[in-house]
Amino acid sequence: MGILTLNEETILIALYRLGGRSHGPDLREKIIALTGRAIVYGTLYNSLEYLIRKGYVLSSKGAPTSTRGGKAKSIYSLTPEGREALLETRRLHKRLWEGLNKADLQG
Amino acid sequence: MSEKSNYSPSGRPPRLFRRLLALMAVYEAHHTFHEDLEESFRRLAARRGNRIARRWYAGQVLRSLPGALRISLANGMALLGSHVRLTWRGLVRSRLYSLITISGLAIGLAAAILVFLYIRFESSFDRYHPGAERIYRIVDNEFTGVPYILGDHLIGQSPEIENLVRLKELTFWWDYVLRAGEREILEDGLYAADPALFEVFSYNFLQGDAEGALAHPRALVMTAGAARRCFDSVQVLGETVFIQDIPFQVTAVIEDPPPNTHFHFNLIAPTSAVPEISAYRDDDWTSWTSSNYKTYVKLRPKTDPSLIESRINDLFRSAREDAPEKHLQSLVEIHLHSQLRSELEPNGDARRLRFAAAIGMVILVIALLNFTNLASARSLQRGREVGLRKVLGARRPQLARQFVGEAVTYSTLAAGLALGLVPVLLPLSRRLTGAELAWESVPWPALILFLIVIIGLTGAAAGAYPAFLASGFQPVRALRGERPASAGRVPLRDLLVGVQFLVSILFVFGTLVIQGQMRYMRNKNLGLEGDRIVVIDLPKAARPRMSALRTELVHLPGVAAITASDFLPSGNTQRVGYEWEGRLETREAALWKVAVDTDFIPLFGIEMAAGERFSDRHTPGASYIVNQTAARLIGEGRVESVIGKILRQGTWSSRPGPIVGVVRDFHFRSLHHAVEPMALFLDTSRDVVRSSRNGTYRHEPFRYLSLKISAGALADTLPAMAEVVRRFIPYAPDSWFFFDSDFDRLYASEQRTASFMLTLSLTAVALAAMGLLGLSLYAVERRRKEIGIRRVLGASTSAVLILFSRDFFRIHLTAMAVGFPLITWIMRSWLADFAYRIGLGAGFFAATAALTTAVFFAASGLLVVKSASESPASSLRRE
Repeated sequence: MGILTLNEETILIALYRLGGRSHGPDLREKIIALTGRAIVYGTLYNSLEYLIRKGYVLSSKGAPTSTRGGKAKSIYSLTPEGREALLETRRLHKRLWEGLNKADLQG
Repeated sequence: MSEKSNYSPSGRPPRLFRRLLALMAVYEAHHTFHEDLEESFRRLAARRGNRIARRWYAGQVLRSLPGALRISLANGMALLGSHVRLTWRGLVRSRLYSLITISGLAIGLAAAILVFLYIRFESSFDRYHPGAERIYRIVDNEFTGVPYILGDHLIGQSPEIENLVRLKELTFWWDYVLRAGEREILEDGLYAADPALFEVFSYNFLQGDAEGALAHPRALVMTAGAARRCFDSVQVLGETVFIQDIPFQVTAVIEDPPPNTHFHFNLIAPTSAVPEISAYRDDDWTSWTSSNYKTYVKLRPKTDPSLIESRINDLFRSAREDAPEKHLQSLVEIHLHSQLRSELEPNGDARRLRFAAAIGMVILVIALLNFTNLASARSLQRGREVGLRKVLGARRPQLARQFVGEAVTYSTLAAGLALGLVPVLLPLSRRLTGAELAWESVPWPALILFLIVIIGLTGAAAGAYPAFLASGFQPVRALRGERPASAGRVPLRDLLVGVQFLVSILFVFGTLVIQGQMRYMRNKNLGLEGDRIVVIDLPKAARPRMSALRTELVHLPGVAAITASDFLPSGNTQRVGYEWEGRLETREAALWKVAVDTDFIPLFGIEMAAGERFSDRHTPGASYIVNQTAARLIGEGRVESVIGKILRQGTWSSRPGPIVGVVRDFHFRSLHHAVEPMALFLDTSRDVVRSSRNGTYRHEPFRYLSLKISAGALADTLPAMAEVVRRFIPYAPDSWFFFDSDFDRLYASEQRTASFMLTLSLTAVALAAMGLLGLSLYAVERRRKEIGIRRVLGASTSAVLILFSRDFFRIHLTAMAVGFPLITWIMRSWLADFAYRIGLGAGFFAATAALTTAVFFAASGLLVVKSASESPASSLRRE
């Protein structure tokens, strides 16, 4: 299993926090809220493309929402493999930070 | 804010950027870019207003573009990879087909690349000098040179001229023997030039620098080549070289000039040294009538050359009245467009270049036609596969993409193979074109671009046609193995084959005629016997010692006879004015002038028609023999009557004297020309040069010494003769040659055309044959069962063969019907250049027809015969 990039990790976490299921605009806003940085749709999609190919995220068409008068949007959902990847990444973070503390880093 | 206001025009995302979203179709599969953006836009607009939202929208679109592009590219590569895999499988499966397709295109491409390199080389002349487009040569409509003094006047009053250089080739009219240490060398390419030479033109200095190179009148600049010939080294700064016994000091050594410049020198002395070393101490420096100096000007940027032109013409008009109109000739156009008198070197010819370009295109087009043909044949063959894919949901663009991808893969392989072929073929094309093509100087970026264009073109042409054809198949019928109604007889394919046949016929016929004319010229009775004659061409410095040399050579065993002359029947001489007794016209008649000694006529086996040969009884410088054509002119038709008539030549080289004989006409120029009137006059090979202009008779020392070697003695005599020559002319020991080979030199251009045409014909015919082979491969494959059934029902192999070749024959006949009138017309105009020529007999037509038929029949019939002779049982069982 490949290691997730920070971008991909952020997307997966945001999706997870949204209950594992969201459409693009909500996902994007969640990411911005979490990181405090704006993300361009293209960047988001490119990372999602990778996650979809890996099987961590599933993209499907949602029902057209009558309230918006719009067409169907893509709905992204976190797959079990995606959850597993997220857990693995978390374990990796733990190992990486093991035995280090803030004071040392600030030197 | 009501919901509705979001749909007011200003509440919509900017239209232009919404359109741009279409570029990012790559996201369509998994994302709803448009809708997502729209939603975010609305949210933002509600929060912070339309203006900010619109700007945000634009930013999102623009900043997403690069990423989308990257993804599409990656996807494209992946797709290409799968096509390449598929193509490779197909390639391995049908090896013969692939071999024919790829090598056919590779041959065509290699030919095109060679032509491309040739054209690039020829049009690259002198472009490497910095600011080359601002450099001009001052010429008129006849000569390339102008008076020396023009430069002085011009530079003084023209601030628009950045620089001006005058140069002159001293070896143009005279031979110079250099002395360097112990060594004496006859060097060609001795130039005199102004010091500005190195500022106007660009040279690489190996030793010394441009500044001091021609600063003092005894300075000498050598090329690396000349330095090695004189000193075996390029470290020769400060060495002394004697020219006409005047010491010169080497001040710089430069790299040999590259091949793509219109003049090449070996040594340069300053113009200030010219009066000392020039053979002709003429009024070079002050005269307004001489034309000895090539003068180049480099104009300042944005200067109008016509301004300088008019100033030059004003200068001339104030100096002399009848000055011919001068103009500026662009440096970069000299090589291809200048054909004036006294060019420093023979220049190229833009016409020849255009011809080569046309030929290259024709070959390339044939190769492309072949490729398209084979690809289409193959695609029809794969009807079933296409049908299956269609059933499985492949869309038409996808199918087309596969065919195009396949064609591109094939042509890329062919391009690679062609690149491998080119270095192998370079020496051959050097010989055919005479251009200094070198693999090392290949312009890679241009070549790669050229290949990419070709590959793209092939992809489009060879892929699109079959793709269009095949993807239009009805799946059901295609799956059943049926072909579309037109598949067996695509008229377009017939046309393509026809064009190839036509080109082959043209080339074969042309080659046969050229070879025929060459053979005719070689075998024609020239009126003289040229075999076993060795000619020594003496440099000017050695001519005064000719008698001594002659005495030594005549005593060699094996030398049957020896003669001295200023002319060879294979070489150039000049026409001068003559008058004779009883002539009424005031203008002198122009006759070819030839000075010979008493042995010339018998040695070359020239026969007498009347009178007697030169002998010791006749007065040197005042006895003439004319040829029959001249005798008819002088005697007004009665050849015999000219004997005894007094002939007067309008130059200093001889005195008036009687005509003592008439020789039979012999050919002394190439057979392009009819025999023209000629007068030989008797001279002696004496040692002294009496060049006084006061005398009535100025003897020019003979140039050539011709030896007739006894039959069978050649092998023994040649080394002895070469030894004597080396002793007498140590600085130019190789100045001898066989008369025969010199005569062949007259036809060097035709010989080159002949080899060129032969190569082209072979290529064209080979390509056409390969195409046929490929087509018949498919025809046979497709109709294998049919062949089997026909055989079972009793058809003979030849009957099957005829059945299969009928179509090709029909096309071939049509091609001949079109081609023969066309090529007859072309070859007539080619032959019209020769005064003595062959006729276009029926033999040429028959031979062309037979040759092409045989090749094409073999190519198309080979596989048919193979298939027809296999047991019907095996072909019928196959499925």
